[in-house]
Amino acid sequence: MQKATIKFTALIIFASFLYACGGNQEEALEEEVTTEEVTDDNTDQMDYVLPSPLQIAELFKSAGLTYVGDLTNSKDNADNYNTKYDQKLNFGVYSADMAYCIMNSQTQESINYLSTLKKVSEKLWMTDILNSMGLSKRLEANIGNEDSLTYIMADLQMQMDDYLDENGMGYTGSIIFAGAWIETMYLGAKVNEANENPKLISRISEQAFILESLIASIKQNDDDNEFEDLIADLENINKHFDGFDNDSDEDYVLSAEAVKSLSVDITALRTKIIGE
Amino acid sequence: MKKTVIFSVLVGLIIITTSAIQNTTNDCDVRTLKNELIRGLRPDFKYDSFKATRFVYKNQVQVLEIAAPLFKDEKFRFLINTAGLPKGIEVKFFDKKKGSKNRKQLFSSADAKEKSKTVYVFDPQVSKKIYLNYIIPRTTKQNLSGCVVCVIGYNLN
Repeated sequence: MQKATIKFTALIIFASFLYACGGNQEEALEEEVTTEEVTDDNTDQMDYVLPSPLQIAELFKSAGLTYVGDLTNSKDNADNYNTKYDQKLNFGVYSADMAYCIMNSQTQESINYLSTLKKVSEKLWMTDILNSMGLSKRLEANIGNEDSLTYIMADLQMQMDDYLDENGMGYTGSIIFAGAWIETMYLGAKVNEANENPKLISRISEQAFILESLIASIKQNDDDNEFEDLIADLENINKHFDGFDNDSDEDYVLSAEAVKSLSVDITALRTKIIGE
Repeated sequence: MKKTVIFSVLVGLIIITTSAIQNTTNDCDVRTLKNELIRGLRPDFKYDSFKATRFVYKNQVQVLEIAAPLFKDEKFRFLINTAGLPKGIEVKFFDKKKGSKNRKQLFSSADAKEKSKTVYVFDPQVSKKIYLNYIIPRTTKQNLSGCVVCVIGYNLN
């Protein structure tokens, strides 16, 4: 009886080993990985990389985006964003405002916007990113050094990208970017309204292909139709870039009239987002 | 007798479960792969963004395309780390998206002199968009997965 039990036990354990190792044996036999000619039809998936809000702010700044203090979103509005959707979009808006202040050596305002970002990030449970970097101290230590400040902002972007990726929140990045992009476009359009600047218009026109990717990226992550409104609003903005051809080698620049009408729609969308 | 049978069944279950877990997970340390690339940006390029692409190898060739923006007259650097993959893939850059007329290949990892390389660096000279393709070979292995990380840096003139 005891012998039979031992045999039975050994059999079960042996069978389990065989099962567990079975896949590997099969894999070993089929180790060879084969490739075949790739045609365009093999493309299974299209993904998008969006630039950092800092890069767009830097581009606009180098094209002549000057600082106008009262253009940015009021820090007091942060208390009014109670839905995750509003919080994500306005986290982007405030990130763009902070980048705008940094680009224009407004260090105290940058620190104030950092506090506002912390407030919004707490609602989004993303506080760790902003706290762990000692950002306030680093900003204060580099007052007046625009180059160092932009590197600090780039570090913040890197930390945020890590956080979103590690927490499976890649889609949130697109929504935050949407808020930042709309705010930067608003700042560019307003500064250009006050003082028409061909370089700035060229950079604003160039945003056509960013918008194309942004819309596609949000659509890709909108399985629950949560962002239908935002997509519709962005598609409305996209109509202003009608003549844009991504495959063309020629420069695409909006006319002064087109920039004006784009500015009207961007302002309306931005007002809707910040809730004024 | 009863105890021995229960014990042996439990041992069997543990072995099977452990094996199943090992087969389906392929931990990919994206942060480490990314940090390796960040070093390649310095000192000329500033961090802009990154994309971690996770995938499972299939019994057919897959092509994953990623569109990335480039701004006029500015310098960009793309760094790709394939060290998180159990099997090599081909990395290519194109000036236009798939299916476009006159689509031109700008870079291919197949041209790299050092075949054992896992990090590729490409500084494109085009503007507007660039299209990064990961060409994933076919395999008959089951549950073979991994990740590839791309970091983009910029230098505004």
